[in-house]
Amino acid sequence: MCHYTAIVAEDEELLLNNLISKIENFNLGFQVVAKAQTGNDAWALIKEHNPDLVVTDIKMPVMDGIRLLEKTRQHYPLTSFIITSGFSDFEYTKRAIHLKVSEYLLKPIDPAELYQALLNIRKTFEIAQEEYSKVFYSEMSLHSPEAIAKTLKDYLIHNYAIDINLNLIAANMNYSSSYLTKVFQQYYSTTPMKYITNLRISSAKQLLRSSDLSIRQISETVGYNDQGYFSRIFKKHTGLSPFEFREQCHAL
Amino acid sequence: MVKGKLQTKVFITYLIMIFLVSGAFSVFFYRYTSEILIERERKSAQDLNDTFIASTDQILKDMDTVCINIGYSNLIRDVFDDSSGLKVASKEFNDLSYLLTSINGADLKVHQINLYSYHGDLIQVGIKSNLTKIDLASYSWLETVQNNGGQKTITMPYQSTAYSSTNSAISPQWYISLYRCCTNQHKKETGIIETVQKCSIIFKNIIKYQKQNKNAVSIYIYNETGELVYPYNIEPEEAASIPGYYQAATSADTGSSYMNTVTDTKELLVTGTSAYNGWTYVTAQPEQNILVPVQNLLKLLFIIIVVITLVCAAISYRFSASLVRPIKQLHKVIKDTQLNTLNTQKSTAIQTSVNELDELNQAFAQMSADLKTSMNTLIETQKQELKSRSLALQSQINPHFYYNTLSGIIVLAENAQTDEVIIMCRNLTKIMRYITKNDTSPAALADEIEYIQHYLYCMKVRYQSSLSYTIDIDPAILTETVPKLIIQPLVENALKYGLADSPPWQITLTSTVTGDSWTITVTDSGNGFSPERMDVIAQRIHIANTGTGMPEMQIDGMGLLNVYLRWKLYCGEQMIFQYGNTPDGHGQVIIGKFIKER
Repeated sequence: MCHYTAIVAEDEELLLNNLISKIENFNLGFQVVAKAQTGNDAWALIKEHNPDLVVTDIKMPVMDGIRLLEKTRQHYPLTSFIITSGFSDFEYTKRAIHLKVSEYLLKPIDPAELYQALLNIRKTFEIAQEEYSKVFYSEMSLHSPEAIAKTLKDYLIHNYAIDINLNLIAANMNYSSSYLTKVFQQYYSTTPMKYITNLRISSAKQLLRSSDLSIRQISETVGYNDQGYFSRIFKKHTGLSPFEFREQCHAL
Repeated sequence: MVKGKLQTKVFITYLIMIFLVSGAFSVFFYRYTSEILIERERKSAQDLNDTFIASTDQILKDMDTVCINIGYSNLIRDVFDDSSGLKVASKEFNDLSYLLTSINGADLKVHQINLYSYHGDLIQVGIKSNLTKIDLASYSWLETVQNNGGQKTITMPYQSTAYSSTNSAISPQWYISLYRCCTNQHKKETGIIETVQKCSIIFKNIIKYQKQNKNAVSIYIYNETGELVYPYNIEPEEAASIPGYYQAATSADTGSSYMNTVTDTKELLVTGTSAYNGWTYVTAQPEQNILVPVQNLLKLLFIIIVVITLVCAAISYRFSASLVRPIKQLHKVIKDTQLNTLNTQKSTAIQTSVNELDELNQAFAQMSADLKTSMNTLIETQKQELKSRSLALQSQINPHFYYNTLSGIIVLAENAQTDEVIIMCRNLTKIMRYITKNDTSPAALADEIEYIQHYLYCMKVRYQSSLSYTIDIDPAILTETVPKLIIQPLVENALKYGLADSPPWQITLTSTVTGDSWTITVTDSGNGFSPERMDVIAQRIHIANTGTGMPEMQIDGMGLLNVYLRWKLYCGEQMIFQYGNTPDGHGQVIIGKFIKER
């Protein structure tokens, strides 16, 4: 049985502990690796653990659930989220949907709903894993680290435009994602995530230069569904916005 | 007191006053003047009466004088002694005629002289001069005259044609005769001398007076036996209609007014009796006639009074109107006055010349303003109380508290912590009871603190070890009364801001009791009041203290302002309310009260 890591954030200790025990008692393969009572504690733990799933309350001290979600999405776009809330507020729901939250549960949490939510998430994980299993499978642990790193690099080159969940790839090989990252870094001096980003930016540059596609289209073509996020990443790497970059190319 | 319009009342009062004054004056004037007039009239009537007596007496005296003179003449005595030789147109007769005429005088004191001798001769000299034989005994007056002896006898007026000149003797004339017996040297009666005078001459003054004066008094003359002498030429019926003046004159004291039973009018009666012949003179005139001038004057006076009354009425109407107009305006203003229009009317709208009304108006305006102010204060207080209650209710019936507490209870039940579930449910019940008890009266501090304990317990169960709280209140102040839910918002506030930081969280309630005050301090473990928040709160407290309006309470964190205002309303000057940060930088609110010095 595979283990998916989870972090639970909830300011009410009673509910927090209850939630954790429920998730673990369902035996759906989710392991709660950390818990937090504030948003920024949760954020620190996410950075530390890079979990597959974050279960968070919307209303929390210091940093609320939505802000935590936004922050996590920027750095870990593939992390699944379950939002729990006492508010059945449309505004929250809208923002949560926009931020691709997997499930939205109202407090007090119905155990059956929680079970179903976790089941749904596990299914998406399993489907993704099924995809990855053609390339990455458990027997690969017998391969040399170099081979594994190369396999991953080749996979990234061909699939950078789709979402790649390193956690699940690692899980397929019964590794942790951090181990995988370590191995990759060892041979290519960069993390897989940064590698993907470089591939995407290069491709985007090419398209900006040579095609008439709109920036939105280019952003989606290279794997960013959020044009604004794409533009920020692009500017961070090149010093220019995609629009400025294209203007410059035409001027030359 | 009959109710009515003020204007009408004032008006009527003035009218009554005018009538009373003028009426009293008229009555007094009438009585005074009529008394004077009647007295004057009485005097003049008396004078007149006396004049008549004197003049009539004079004429009768003249007749008597003639009689006496004749009686004393020797010639006459001789004639009476023996008149057998006397012949008309004889020398003796002529001498006698001459004598008699000379006695009568040039002014013809009598109309006719008749000499009756007891021999049966009648010698007539005057208008008719004759010598006839008569039967003396056939004369009705003979006995009367003889009985009178030497005294005069005056007859009643009688009608006769005997002494008229033959040419003009168509209608009989009225005469009065005066008789006297004549005696000779031996005191023996020898004859009777008669002097006749026309009534019109005897009463000429009276007739003349009555002819000259239109409103002449009625004059009646009675002889000693009460027979009417004057007027003489009246019909018997007329004579019968003359009331009993004689009785009145002889019985009643003069000067009193006499009630004429025939005409039914009051008459002023003046009587006088001639000392000469005993005739009683009565002058009667209706008082009405005397009072005619007074009544005329009264009529004039009445017209003047009417005119004055009309003028006064006009003036009093105007005055009462001027008095009533501002009152009416004031009434209108008062009637139009409603809570929302208080003090909006212009007090200068009422124009009055009366100081009191002006003052009343100003007082009303002042009262209106004061009322407005106090109403505003009252409304403000009520509004505030309502708001604070609703706010307190809102924050407590905040679904999230129940929602979260119920979520907690579910979890406890899932965990099979039955005892905890029971305690939580019981706490929740108590909280709801305290909040929903619809009672505006202040609560004992003990109840409020107990409620906070339940509240914090519920929070503690939810946050478990992350939250801890301490309540340490001096039992001495637990009997103090406070508005319900006055401390709870502070605790809620402390939780709200204290729990914004990372756990563990701590809420502390402590009390301080000094000689003249007590305070309760609510401290959290958060980051305290930010300078901006301090500013906002100070600003809102300032607005609430100076302005009339309530600052919007729904704004985040204004539970503190709500508590401040309610507490200030409750304690007034005795209030203690402080907010700020502890030396460690945690938020702290102090609420308390100076104990009234005894």
